[in-house]
Amino acid sequence: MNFAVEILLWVTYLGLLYILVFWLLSFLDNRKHMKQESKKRMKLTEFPLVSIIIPAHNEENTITGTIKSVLKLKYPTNKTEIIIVNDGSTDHTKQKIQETININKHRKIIFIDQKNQGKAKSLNNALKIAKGEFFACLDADSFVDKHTLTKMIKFYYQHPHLAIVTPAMGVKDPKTLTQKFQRLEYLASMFLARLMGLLDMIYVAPGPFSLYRTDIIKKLGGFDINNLTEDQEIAYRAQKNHYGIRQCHNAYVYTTAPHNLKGLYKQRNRWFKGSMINLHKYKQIFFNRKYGDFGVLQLPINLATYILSVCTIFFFGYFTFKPLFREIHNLYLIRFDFLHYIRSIDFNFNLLELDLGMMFIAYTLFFAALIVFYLSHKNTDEKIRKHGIIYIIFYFFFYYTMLSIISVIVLIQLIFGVRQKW
Amino acid sequence: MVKQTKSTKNTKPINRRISIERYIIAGTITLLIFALGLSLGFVLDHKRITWIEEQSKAQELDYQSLQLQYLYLNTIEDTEKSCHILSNTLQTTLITLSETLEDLEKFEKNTKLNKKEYKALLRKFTIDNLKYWLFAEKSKKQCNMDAVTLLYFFSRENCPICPNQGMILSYFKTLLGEDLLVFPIDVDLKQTEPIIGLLESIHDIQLYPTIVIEDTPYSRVVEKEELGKLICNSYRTPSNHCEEYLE
Repeated sequence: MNFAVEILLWVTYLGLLYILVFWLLSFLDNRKHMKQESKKRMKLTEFPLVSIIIPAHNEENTITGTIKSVLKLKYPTNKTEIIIVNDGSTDHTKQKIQETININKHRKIIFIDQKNQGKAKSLNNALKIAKGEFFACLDADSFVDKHTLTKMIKFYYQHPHLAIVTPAMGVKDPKTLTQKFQRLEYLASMFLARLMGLLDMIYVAPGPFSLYRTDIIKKLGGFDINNLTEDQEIAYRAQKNHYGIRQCHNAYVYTTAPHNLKGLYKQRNRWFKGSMINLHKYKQIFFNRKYGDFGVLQLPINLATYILSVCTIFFFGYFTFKPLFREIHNLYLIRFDFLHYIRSIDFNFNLLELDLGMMFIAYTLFFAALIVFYLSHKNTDEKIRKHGIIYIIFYFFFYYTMLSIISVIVLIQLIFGVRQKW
Repeated sequence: MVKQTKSTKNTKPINRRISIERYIIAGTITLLIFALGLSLGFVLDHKRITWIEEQSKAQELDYQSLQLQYLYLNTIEDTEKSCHILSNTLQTTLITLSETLEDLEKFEKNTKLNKKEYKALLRKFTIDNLKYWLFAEKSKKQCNMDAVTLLYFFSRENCPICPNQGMILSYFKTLLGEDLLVFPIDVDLKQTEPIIGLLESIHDIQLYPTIVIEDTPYSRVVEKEELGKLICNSYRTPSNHCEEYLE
């Protein structure tokens, strides 16, 4: 192996290992606290008014279900106001919304029908008329569990300093391979977001049912209408102003994950692009001690993720395509005499040929990743083999490579100034 | 954006902290794992060298055995049976030598520190190769063997196209077996091993790779078809495998 490649590989392994060890240590330090938090029971004596904003753009297939899930929330109906924004949908979203409103006339539902202005602008328009002490955003392709809002409000009362409480976000009925991979990814994200919250390091308030203190978000100026990932940008802005964000680990919300690779590419392209732009926008926080772990560790990790993605793709090419091309070239040299080619392959295996030093680090890294994977499942009481072992193998070996490819494409697009089309 | 309001009720700015202790512990654990990995690499390096040295000792004995057989042939009587045994022993020894050399090259790629020891071992194996080449030449004449001996001059450091020639040679070795004796010579060891320079000047070698078949040098990569012709034309009685190249 080339010396430079070897150094890069060591640095990549060690970088990843450091991050995983850090999270595992954070878990060990907070284990008791997390257990107690899970057991803690509290009865709400007062129910603050909550505005639930549902922005929708061409969501005819899911909007009815989304609204129904909000209507079923176990929270006093007179203490919720639902604001639905139809953001210039060109399909039957508007009709579906009106049908649902007509059936539920006894509930306070405000309907805003506007020309297409984007999600952030829709949220801001709703925020202008929102009367709730708190407000939640719910993407029109997501479904909230009936106990979620109560749990989140309780969480606010337990932690009155917070400005944003995020939910534990899972994938709604994963059916396709792509969705099952995303389910595993979301489980790991849930666990890490819980840990991040304990260290004040959360950097995204997911679109599906994050709960905000209305006055604080208004004070911060609402959502950034020019941002591709407004849910991340608002979290960065809250962190910049030292407002607390935590995850309520048992407040579940389920989102419809892209069912195929094309959809996943489109979604992640937007996420990654938005994320990179936000990293640039908040570059002053990087390694800034004033922002604690968020500035010193989390933001550098966010940036390192993209660097590691580039490294992953490089190694994937180096260890897959380079030997493949070499073997094809070798075959060409012997004019594709396959029979003799197979005969010339050395099947004698000598353990001493392996670079066990490097393999030791790689396996330790893999083992640490497995522990995080196990803890992620335990965090949500999910069974590891729910969808079979094969998905887990593919998830570990291919899914992240695929995501890395997307992030590298995004990086190239950003360098060459390719504009986002949606 | 929404119009800003003046104040918040309960929310206070969070007390930021830096988990410096955890950073240090995580760093220490990572470094420990790194050190363990490195140590494992060093232990393995030592094992590799021991293994190669053991192989080398075994080959030294093989060589002595070959010399004894040759002495027997010269001293007693030249019999067909003795030549056959000599040829077989030579073949087996050459295969082992070639395998050990391959292992050595693979090990050298993985080594982190013991480059010098590997260089010394590579030099030893190059000398062995040349000893066997001289021995094969002598035995060929003595026993009237119909085998082709081929010297392959290559550089691992300054010749990116050399592996191509290596691949074609491996192909013919697999195809022709004991009828083709290939002796690879690593010219990067020229500085430490004068015989390599001597052989180069005898055959007027300036480019790599170069193969020398029956005293005639061929520089740059000799393609499969051409090499097949050159090798097959050197046999007194070409085998069936040569039909394709002699048409």
